[in-house]
Amino acid sequence: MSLISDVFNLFLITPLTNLFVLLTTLTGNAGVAVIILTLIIRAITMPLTLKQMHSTRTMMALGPRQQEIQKRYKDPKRRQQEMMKLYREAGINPLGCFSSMLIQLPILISLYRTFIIAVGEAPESLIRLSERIYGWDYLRSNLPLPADFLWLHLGRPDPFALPLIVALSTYSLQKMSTMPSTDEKQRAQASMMNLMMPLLFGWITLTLPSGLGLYYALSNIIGMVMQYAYVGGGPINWRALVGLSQEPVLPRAVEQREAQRVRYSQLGKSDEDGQEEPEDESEEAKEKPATGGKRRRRRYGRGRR
Amino acid sequence: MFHVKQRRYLGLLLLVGLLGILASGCVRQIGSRGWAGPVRENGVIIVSTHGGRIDGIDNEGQQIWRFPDLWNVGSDKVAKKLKGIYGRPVIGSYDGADVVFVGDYNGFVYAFRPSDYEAGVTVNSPPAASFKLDGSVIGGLALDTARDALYITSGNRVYALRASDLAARIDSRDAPVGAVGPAPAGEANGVLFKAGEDIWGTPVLADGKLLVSSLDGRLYALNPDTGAKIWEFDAKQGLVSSPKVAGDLVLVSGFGSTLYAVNLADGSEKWSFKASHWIWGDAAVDGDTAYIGDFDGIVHAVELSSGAEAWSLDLGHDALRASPVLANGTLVISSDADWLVGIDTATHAVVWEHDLGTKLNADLTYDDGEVLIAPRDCVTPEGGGEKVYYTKVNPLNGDLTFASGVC
Repeated sequence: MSLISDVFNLFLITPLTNLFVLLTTLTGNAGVAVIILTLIIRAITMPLTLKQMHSTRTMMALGPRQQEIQKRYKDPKRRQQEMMKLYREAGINPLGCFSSMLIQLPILISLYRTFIIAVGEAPESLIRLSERIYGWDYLRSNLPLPADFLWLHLGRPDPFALPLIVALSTYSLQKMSTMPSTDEKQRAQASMMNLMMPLLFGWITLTLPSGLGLYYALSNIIGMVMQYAYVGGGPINWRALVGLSQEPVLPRAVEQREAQRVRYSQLGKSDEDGQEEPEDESEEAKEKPATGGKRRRRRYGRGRR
Repeated sequence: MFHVKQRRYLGLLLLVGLLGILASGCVRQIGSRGWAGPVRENGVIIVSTHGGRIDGIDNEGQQIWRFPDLWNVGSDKVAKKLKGIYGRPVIGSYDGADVVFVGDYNGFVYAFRPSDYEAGVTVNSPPAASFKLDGSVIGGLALDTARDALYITSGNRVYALRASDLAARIDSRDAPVGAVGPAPAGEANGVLFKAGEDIWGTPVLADGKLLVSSLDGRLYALNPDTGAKIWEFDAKQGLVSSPKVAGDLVLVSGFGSTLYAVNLADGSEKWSFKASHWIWGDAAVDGDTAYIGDFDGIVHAVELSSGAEAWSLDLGHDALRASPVLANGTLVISSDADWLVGIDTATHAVVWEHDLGTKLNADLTYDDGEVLIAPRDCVTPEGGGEKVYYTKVNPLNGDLTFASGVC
């Protein structure tokens, strides 16, 4: 446990703390430093975010095929094999949906520690900071950091506005990232999640340093911009974004999903049952899967032939 | 690899993990414990034994009272809960009884009479006075009985209140508290001076001046009656230590890792000494030598006449935040990493040291041949047994004394 903690401190908390102190010293404003820090972190994790977006969209497109497999194969082992085959051929890793989330987790924890150390409320936090700050006089001599930004003290929780912003931005990002399901049960579950997650994050923000809430809200806004750019722009259904409509927020994303769904509709259809797939669908499936899918099929040497 | 259902569980698991880790982080949030040095008055050691409380310990090492637990500080919820005491309490005498004044991180200054409480006799909680200030009290208090003035640093302000008025509030909760001088424009009654940033050092009265160091990097010499600035010295980097008067010099230090010697008469710099890390504690002065500890754990002996380093000693015990004290040729210093050390100033050698098992960030106090200490927490002694709270050390041999009834 101590080793994990040491590694965490050495490679994440301490560098992030020093970067935050440096940015605050350079800009003279801790809030501006949080904004720059957010941009840097989002830029570094962008490949993972894009991968997650791709995986999520592909998984959604594969939904009908997954249901088919589940209905068709009663043996769990066989069902699992077929699922894996489907994912391979679609060129995705099911864990890809969580890659960005997984990397965000240690970053959030590190930032939490960073804010309570660097702009902590109690004078004792500066003693902890002294243990982490690099031996560069420029960093050491410009402390303590100014912790105020707009109405916030970045080391203390904000009781109202910031949790609300975090909740709203989480809700909006979720609405942009998810598409209404055709299945009534799944739609109800998605609605529940779309409501619960923002409330949960809003509530968590009530107990955390405002700096972390600010980072999370900004990160959500950047996520929304990325999501919009990923689907290639197009119109935004504002009514849906604020929850007044069950329609998709980004209609273009639905178009893309449907196109992908058609493309993937024959993926994973096994010939192991002695059922040869129709020639035309097979050809279509061969031609249209994502590049990653083609590459993976070649690598594994397990096409549908 | 994962079914839809499994993925949902995995997502939930990650979320629960995140919440768990954040929740555990909340528990470890750095609180305002305080680092007030202990004082001794009429044989009673007054020491903050825990965040938000202060104990009276008699000569036999027995706890005899606890503030605010045993007192009635009124109905104000904020005033009732102390958050951390950073500045030493000061004691004055009013109507024949000692009155303890103490400021807290919650932004209140309190006055109470220890004699109002007697264990086993007092039935109802005796009253205590409180006065709301503008910001947290970190620097502490200075009492000038001749002027009847209580100087308190609160946030970036210096308050100057009539001490007798505050003492009178003990018996009459709504009694007005007068100000010593006129408040600057736009400031509340009682404010004497406003600095650019917070004040962490205790104000000091010397040579007819009120000396105040601030995180804005300046050392101010003020007129104690009016708050008018007599001179100011700009160190450029935040000053944390209290001003320490040594002859015609004032010593201050802070985030710049530099000890400055400033002429008390006019605020001009005489010399500066650069250490390798922050210096927060007040210097201990003996003859022509000033002793300081820095955050790299190094003790420096600096010549007062020139600012040159006479010798240094790396204790290797982490940050030295607390102010050291000199006791019959032994420099006693404590560290954030639990160590209490005695150094022979003649040989520069460590003569005794103890790992107390708790942080020692509170300033040390030399009193009547003993060094009073205020560890962060109670600890289990080396031989085992019940937890104890160490209160003092014999500087000659390092023998420790502890108190009963505290833990």
